[in-house]
Amino acid sequence: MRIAGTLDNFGFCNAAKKLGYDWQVINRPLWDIYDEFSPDLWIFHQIDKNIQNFIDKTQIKHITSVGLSLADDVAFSPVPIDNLFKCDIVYIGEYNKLIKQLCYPIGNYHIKVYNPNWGMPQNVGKLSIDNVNKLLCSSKMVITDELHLAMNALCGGNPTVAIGRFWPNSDMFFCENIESLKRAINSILNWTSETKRDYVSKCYSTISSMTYINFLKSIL
Amino acid sequence: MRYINILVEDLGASQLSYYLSTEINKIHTIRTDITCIVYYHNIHRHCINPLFATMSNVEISGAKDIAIATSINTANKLLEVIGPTKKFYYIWNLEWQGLQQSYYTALLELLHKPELSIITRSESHAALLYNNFNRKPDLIFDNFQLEKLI
Repeated sequence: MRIAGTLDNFGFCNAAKKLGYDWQVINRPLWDIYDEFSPDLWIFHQIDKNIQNFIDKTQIKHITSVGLSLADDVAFSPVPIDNLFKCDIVYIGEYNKLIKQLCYPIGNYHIKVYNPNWGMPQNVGKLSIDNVNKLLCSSKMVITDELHLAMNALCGGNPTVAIGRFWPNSDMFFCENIESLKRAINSILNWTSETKRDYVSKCYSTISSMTYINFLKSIL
Repeated sequence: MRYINILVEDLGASQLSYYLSTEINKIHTIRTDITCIVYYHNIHRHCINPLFATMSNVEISGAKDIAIATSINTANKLLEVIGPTKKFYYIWNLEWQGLQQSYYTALLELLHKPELSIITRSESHAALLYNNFNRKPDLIFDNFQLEKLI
């Protein structure tokens, strides 16, 4: 099975390699890839006019990844705690006023923020995907504002709290204000490892089918 | 005679240069058994008349005793030098805030080098350092109060 995808489809690339499929990055003219690689499936991020023309002429099997919320359980999996990355909370997501209130000097939590575009001292800048996974697994809990980030964090076995506008499953903590967020944090930080495991498995059970691997299997 | 070697980016007009020059000038008037040498990366006009030796950082290989770096750049330079018996990195600015590239892992490795002792300027800088890099400073003093180091 051969799959061609744009560079930003990192999750699909991992899943394809894990399933033993051939992966080709779309980094050349589409017709060249069509002639030389003959993909069975094309994965685009978005479809513009030129790509649409190509699809109309070739009638290729294709999907667009924009708007898909899937978990990358290949890149994100449980790893041992790394003391260099150890912390209480990791926030991964866009700028958020609630998170600002947790950070020193307003708040007093040991929090690391993973968002290269958010200029604040707690930010850890850009990290490789392996180090992001280490960072998530070395923290006691993860806060996020997007569904696919929450799913990735859960793949690593991390208790996750949602603060975004996405609709999490009913088992997941969903906090809309600072009081409920602090309550959730203080509760999770005092959990035993069994309680954490139960929470993660409950949250993960409803999204376990929403992985890149399962998605590829279902369409191929 | 004991030597204190300090590496800076430059000795031009800045808060760092001002306090550094003032404190070393003061030390030299009260302690005759200490010699301070400042190594600069870029040559600039001095903001205060120095009563101590200044030279280019290519001369740092001859340094001995204590050496203090004041930036990420000079800390990396200091790690390459074998002369000093005690190496410090005085975190004057939270430089990582202005960096947009993948600095984190490189800085994490630098701050956890066993041969490098860390000095921060304040408790708040120490808190941020620990929060981001899980590293507690060895010393905390502001504005180059070198008598605390001595």
